[in-house]
Amino acid sequence: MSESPGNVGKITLTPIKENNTRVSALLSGGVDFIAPVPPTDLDRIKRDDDSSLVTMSGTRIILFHMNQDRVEAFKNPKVRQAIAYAINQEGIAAKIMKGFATPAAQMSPRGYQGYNESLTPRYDVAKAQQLMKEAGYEDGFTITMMAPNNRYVNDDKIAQAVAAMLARINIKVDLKTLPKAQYWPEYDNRAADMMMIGWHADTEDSANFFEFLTFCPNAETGAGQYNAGKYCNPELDALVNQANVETDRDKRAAMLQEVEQRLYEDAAFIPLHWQDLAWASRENVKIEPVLNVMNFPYLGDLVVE
Amino acid sequence: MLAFLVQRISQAFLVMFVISVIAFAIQDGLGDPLQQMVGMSVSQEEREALRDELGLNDPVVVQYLRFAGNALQGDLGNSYFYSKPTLEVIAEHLPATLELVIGASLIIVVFSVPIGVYAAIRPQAWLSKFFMGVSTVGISIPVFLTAIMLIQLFSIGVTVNAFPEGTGWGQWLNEFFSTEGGLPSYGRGDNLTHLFGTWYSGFFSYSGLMHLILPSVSLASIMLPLFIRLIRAEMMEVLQSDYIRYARAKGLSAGRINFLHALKNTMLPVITVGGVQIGIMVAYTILTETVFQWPGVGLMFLEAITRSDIPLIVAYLMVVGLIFVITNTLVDLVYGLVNPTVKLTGKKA
Repeated sequence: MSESPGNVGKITLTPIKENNTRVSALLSGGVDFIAPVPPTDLDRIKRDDDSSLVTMSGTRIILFHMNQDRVEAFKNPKVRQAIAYAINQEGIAAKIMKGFATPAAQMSPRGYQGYNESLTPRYDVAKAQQLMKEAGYEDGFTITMMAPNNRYVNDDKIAQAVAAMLARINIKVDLKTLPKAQYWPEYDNRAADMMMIGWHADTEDSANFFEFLTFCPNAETGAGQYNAGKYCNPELDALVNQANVETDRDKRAAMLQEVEQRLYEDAAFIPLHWQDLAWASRENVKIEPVLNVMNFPYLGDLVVE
Repeated sequence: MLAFLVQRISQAFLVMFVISVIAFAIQDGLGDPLQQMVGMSVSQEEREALRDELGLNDPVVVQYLRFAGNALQGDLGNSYFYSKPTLEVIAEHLPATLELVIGASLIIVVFSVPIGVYAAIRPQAWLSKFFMGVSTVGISIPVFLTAIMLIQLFSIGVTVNAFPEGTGWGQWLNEFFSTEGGLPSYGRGDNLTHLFGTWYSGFFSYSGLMHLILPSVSLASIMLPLFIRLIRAEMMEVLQSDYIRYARAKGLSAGRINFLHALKNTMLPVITVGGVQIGIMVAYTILTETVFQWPGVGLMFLEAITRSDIPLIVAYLMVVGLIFVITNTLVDLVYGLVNPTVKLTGKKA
């Protein structure tokens, strides 16, 4: 075991709620290390000679559920696939998130066992319209959508963009955004046809995503507790359960990747992107070596020059 | 006098009663406190059990009667988040807000009176026009924008390079418009002096005073233009009145006329309006405290809303209602002292 290079004896943690104030505190020298850095201030910190910025692709997936119980059309996989083809994840990541997000076609981020290389974001409005026609919904229909407006980065803007994209395949969206205190009770009641949720796997493992977000909802076991789409595929549930007792890493990874593949083909939900992470510090505080994608900085190894 | 005070105390009770009824009526729309309190993996049964225990399943009327009964004994319930009596939480945060309001009020009084009087005596001077212009701008800019600009200018510092560096005048202008920064932008500072109870003051230490500057200026920026214009308008009207003309004809000096006779009569409506405005400042502290991470009741209230901490929200609203009634009462009392011809309870003289 090598000795830790860290030389910090005392750390003071100060909560600063307002984004702007937190960045100002760093730029004025009032604090040495801030997290998170709001996407709107990345340029400000980059331009400052006395501060350094570290960004990393994150593991929190932002996605939309399509409630099959509330909307008959969502039971048809062609309709779900049409919606998947109509959403431009790369456009959202570039224009709304200003590049501060990684477009996603699945739940598991790169680095997780279930991450499937072959799955990439799909965007083809013509194909989407074709699928809607094949499903018999060429004239479209109206749905309700709900999203929080103070929980995820640009959550309300993302919802508006998605609503606009769905309009191109004749799905009229009635969008309502709520503060998180009011949104989560509505989410538990499955109050809208499409609902947004962001998820970070507490276990840092793919199976956690599936267990909460795509398992057949079961009030007793708690499976699918946040599955607002009421998506149910017992085969996939069984596969995940099998993976959970598989000790061979490669076999386990293969099973989880197959689950992602099948969910992709079935368009069980609409993945959007993984939010990036950003930290900033004064120039002499070397944070890059201690940061990781789980956002648990190893502060014991922190070096201040 | 006694009748007046009794009238005001019963008014206070009425205000707090109405506020508490309204707060209870809307509590369903404030969010589900259980969502905020328990983790994700808690089962539905356990949540229901907790809901029963907290009494959230009873009809609203029963909940209100229970609350009112406790309130009359001085118990406004426990905060869901802090797990402490709400009045204790408010008492811990209130001194910070009061210090902020005191700081802002001092700035307002010190600046508005001279500027307002000057603008009234010499309305055509360019300095008066300048102050009037600035005050219009001040009223228009929202307080959080002022706060952010102040932080940028005086905490971080701004280097202006708009003018050509090569020339002497360019360099001088650049230096004139650039700022060093250095004032603290968040919190109240270290080493606060303990006065009594939960009151930790920032007025008695260098660090505390430095931290008070930017937030107080931001808060004052809302009311300062109002007071300047108010004093100026009132004073100009008073200067037109007969007794002032008589005083001038009598040959009294300008200083005596302006500052002894005119000013006293100007201050009457200023006190009435001003007193109410100081009370309203309590509302603006929410914005200022959020920007400066000032640990006062404004920030506490905003966080309570985000967390659906309903007992704390209700308690805060009632305390603020009480503060308003107290402020209005004090204003009326001061008015009665300054103008002895006024009968406070409205009975015939």
